[in-house]
Amino acid sequence: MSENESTIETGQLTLRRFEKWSHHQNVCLTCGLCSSACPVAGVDDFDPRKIVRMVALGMEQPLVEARWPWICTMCGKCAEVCPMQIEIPEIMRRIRSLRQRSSVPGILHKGLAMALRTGNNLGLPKEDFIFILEDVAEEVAAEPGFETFQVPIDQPRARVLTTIHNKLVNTHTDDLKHWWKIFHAAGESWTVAADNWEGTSWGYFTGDDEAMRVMAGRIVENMRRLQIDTLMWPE
Amino acid sequence: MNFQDSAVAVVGGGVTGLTAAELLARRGIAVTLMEKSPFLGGHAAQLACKAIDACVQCGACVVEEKLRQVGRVPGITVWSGAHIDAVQGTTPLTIGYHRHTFGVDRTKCDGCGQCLEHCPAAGALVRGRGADLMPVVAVRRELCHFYADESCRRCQEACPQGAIDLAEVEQRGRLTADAVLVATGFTPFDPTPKPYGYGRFKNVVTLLDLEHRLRRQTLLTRPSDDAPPQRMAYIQCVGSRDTQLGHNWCSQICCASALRQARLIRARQPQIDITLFYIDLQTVGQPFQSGPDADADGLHRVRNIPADIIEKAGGELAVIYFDPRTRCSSEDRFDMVVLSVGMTPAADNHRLADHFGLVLAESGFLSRAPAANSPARGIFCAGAVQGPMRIAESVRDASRAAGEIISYLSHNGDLP
Amino acid sequence: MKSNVLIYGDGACAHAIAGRLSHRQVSVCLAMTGGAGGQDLPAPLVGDRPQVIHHTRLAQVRGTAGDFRVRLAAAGAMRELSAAALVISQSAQQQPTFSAYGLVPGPRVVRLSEADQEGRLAPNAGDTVLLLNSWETESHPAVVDGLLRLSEGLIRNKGVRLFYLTGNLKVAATGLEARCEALKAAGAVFVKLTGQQPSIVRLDDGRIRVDCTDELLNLPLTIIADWVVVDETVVPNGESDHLAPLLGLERDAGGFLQSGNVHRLPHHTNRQGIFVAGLSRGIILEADIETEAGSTARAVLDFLNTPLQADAAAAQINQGRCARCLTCYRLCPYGAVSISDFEEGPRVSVAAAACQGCGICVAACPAVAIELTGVNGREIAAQLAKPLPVKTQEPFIAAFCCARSAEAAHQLARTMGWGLPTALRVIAVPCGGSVAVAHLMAALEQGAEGVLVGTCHDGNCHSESGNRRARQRIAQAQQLLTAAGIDRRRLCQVSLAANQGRRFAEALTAFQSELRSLKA
Repeated sequence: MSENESTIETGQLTLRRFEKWSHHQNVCLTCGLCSSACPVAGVDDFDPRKIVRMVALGMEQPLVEARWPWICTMCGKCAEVCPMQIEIPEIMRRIRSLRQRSSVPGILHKGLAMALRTGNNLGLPKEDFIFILEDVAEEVAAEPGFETFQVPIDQPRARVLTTIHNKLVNTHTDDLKHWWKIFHAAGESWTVAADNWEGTSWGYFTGDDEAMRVMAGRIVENMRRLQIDTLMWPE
Repeated sequence: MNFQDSAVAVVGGGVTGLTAAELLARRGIAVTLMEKSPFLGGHAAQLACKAIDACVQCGACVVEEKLRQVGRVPGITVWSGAHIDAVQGTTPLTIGYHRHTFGVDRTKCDGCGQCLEHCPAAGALVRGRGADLMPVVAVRRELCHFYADESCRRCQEACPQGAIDLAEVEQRGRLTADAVLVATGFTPFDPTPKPYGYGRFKNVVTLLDLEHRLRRQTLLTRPSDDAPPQRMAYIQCVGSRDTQLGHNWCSQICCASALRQARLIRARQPQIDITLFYIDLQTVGQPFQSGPDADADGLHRVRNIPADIIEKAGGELAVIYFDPRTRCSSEDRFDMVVLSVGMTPAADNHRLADHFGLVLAESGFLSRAPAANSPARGIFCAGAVQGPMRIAESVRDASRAAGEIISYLSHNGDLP
Repeated sequence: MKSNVLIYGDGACAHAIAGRLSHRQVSVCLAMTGGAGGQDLPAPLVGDRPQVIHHTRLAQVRGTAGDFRVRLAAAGAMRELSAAALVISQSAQQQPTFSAYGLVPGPRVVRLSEADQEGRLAPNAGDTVLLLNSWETESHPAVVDGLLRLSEGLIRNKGVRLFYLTGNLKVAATGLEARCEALKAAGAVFVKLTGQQPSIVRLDDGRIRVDCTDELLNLPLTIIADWVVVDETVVPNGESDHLAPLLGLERDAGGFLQSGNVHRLPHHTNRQGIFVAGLSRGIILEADIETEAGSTARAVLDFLNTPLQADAAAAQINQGRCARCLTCYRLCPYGAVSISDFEEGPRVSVAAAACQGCGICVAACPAVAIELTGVNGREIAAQLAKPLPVKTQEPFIAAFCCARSAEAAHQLARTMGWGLPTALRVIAVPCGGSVAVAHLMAALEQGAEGVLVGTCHDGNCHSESGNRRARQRIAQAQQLLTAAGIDRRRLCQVSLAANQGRRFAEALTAFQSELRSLKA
């Protein structure tokens, strides 16, 4: 019996809980390279080694309940430096996937649920989406040198299909202009889809593989529909 | 037992090859010692003595002794610049080779160094000691302008002895040997791909670089401006214990080397602050087993490996690591960082294995599995070509191999 | 020289050496303290079968290299043997570390070397087995090798929950890192301790409870172990305390029968003809025993096939001058001086086969009764008298340099052209200990403004004590100088290794500056 609730009693551990996870989580050298590389190490006591250790010890409950796995930005620096090739970002995702969706922090799941229902995180209707794009396009066309600019929507057989981050049609619409001008000046052949244009991948971020598959599937469907081979997917 | 008619080729002139050559020649065996670089001694000969009040058993002077012994014992022919081209037969073996003399006639060169003063290409001329331990110069083709486009002959023109002939041609030939010992050693890990700035930041060096400095300097200075450093860091396990690189071994010598170096530097220059970043400190062998207390040497120890080094204004090195004591990401400033690089298989192990019919382990070193490289056809192996090995162990392994070769020759080529 | 060898020791290494030497037609006697082993030594094609003696102890060794006369005590009687060479290769002792962890041996608490014994360690699937592998002290790869082997068996065959507690995990030997990785992949949990003091208590039911902090999680960790395996330290065979003085052998700081001096590598001792191998000379991994045996056999064969040193090359005691003070007998680091009885009384002589020519006896002999080529007074005087090649205003320095270190460093400095004073006479001597007070005085008498003695570093002197004796002689000479009103700083000592050419040049230059300042 322990007085301190957070004491780990090895007798209580289900050491083999994550045995089937093949992310090399058991062979940690405790070298600390991941912690040293991590941009958020030390924030709220976060340390990627903790996650690896808890998985190796089979500590499922604390992992699901802890805040730590959600602090990770998924930047992947840890995996790059790890000498034992432990797939830390993959581990993060899988831990995140263990949580009930209703417990997913913040708006992450809510936004994802909206995207699954409506095709984008904001629930922005198609007409409004097109209206916003064309409105910004007019502003671009008003600038000298860009008189012929038009925003290509659902253009079949364009060279590049691009997704749109929802903030670009919400709070940061001006940021659309920069890359539109570059594409125009370069003479690039590109388009956006009118439906399922959402570029953020909160299914990836929250460890929801099924949602991730659906969202990615919609983008691929757009590519098939428009007969486009090249995808630009900035996130 | 009379070995007057026996000839052995020892491939590799480092501590293992030198030891074996002397042990064989003592018994009257004719030895040809083949070394691909201009100078004998290998890596171990580049080490500095790290004694403070007493010897710390680093083994560097052992190599020095072997060099002198090899120079004195009759019956050893030393070929520098020698490379293996082909191997045929079995006792006797026929070894095809080519040699070049690094552009310098050693019988004429007296090591005066005038050529060095005229050479415009940094590092293209190196000065060391020849087999007889007299100073001699060698041209490094990969850096020399003449070998690039024949645009420069200044060293040749400046040499008062006429010892330099840049246009010298390789000699090719065949050597007959009753047995061969492969003792080609290792390559130190090149940390350029690691995020520590090696090759870009002047004050980031390897353990071996530091040994070179300690050989030349009693008071250590840093490469950028020759001023003494104030804060030094050692980063252990660079290139070792690393499955990402395919190096899942401990190189065995780096912790001891780093500790010896750091203690020596602090003994001579106590104002220099030294921090050691480590995973598990390997303190095997003399003098650590019963040596000074860990805390008494004044080194700071941090049990974590840094992930990044960034050069700041003025050349300061910011080392980024997670401090396990404060549990925070930290950035400490140092003005010199030493990377404790490990031992890796030499790049030409594959070629040598092909020539001699040897088996490589997954690591790339020669396999030590019992049946893998048991001597057949008179081909033997010794030393760090088989994996990380200390100087003391290399000397022992050379002794073991020399014994096997002598036994093999005694049985007229039959394995006992 | 006869070619018979006495190998003293139980264990795999002694056995392997015996087999190899016997195969090479050396007459081998394997003397063991235990009662088992040695029966399967192969008979050579030519020559005697190896002789094996059990239940015996080394009682006395007389004689010298090439001609040792040994007495072995067996069953209350003495056996006499002669041997050209001796090999000491005993097994080491594993000492348990129970008390380091606050534990006592018990049904559930086992030491590593007993863990394999039938019934000692009998976990059921799901039991927690805890291995304790040192954190306040440093362990050794040889011990880790054993712990890993035990762990591999347990985790593969028994399905136990394995926890391994250690400070610094010692993986500095072939294959250990890969084996640790494989064990972790199979589910073993390694807990690293950095400066922690875990609490270890025995519970009423006999299980062991360990409380510590998991340093990765920064959380308290409690391990309740059904079985605990404690590691061991490897120390020299208990007989080493007795053997060292018996054989006149040096010991290293850990008590093993080979000095840590790198000159002894791999199998030499301070006594010619006496070799040390395996766990008699240090902690050797099991995987290296065959290499150890092969290397030792080669060294012994080389010794047997090399003619013994001729008398003329060794130190010679002039019997007419010898006062039988036994100073040389006591000082000789190589045990080369012996006392024998003659009709006229005791006679002290140097065994040429054992003499290493260090010259310590020559310098120490109060009767100046010992001669050795190269260090005799008149030879030294002749060298000092030679005129310098260049006339100079610089203070003339005479430097007595040990051939193995300072003289080699001098050669390095000279060939590489690192600034040496021009008014320098270097006299090579076999050892710093061969420099007598008389030599130092002779140098000053011959016009040297300063005399430097260059020796090996402590622990690196081939004669082990030569550099210390050099310092003593300098101190004695400095007392004489002070009494005569001469500045004591005209004598100095520097310790060097053979590869310290720069340091040699720096030391000489610094000495020269000091002498110049004294002049003024």
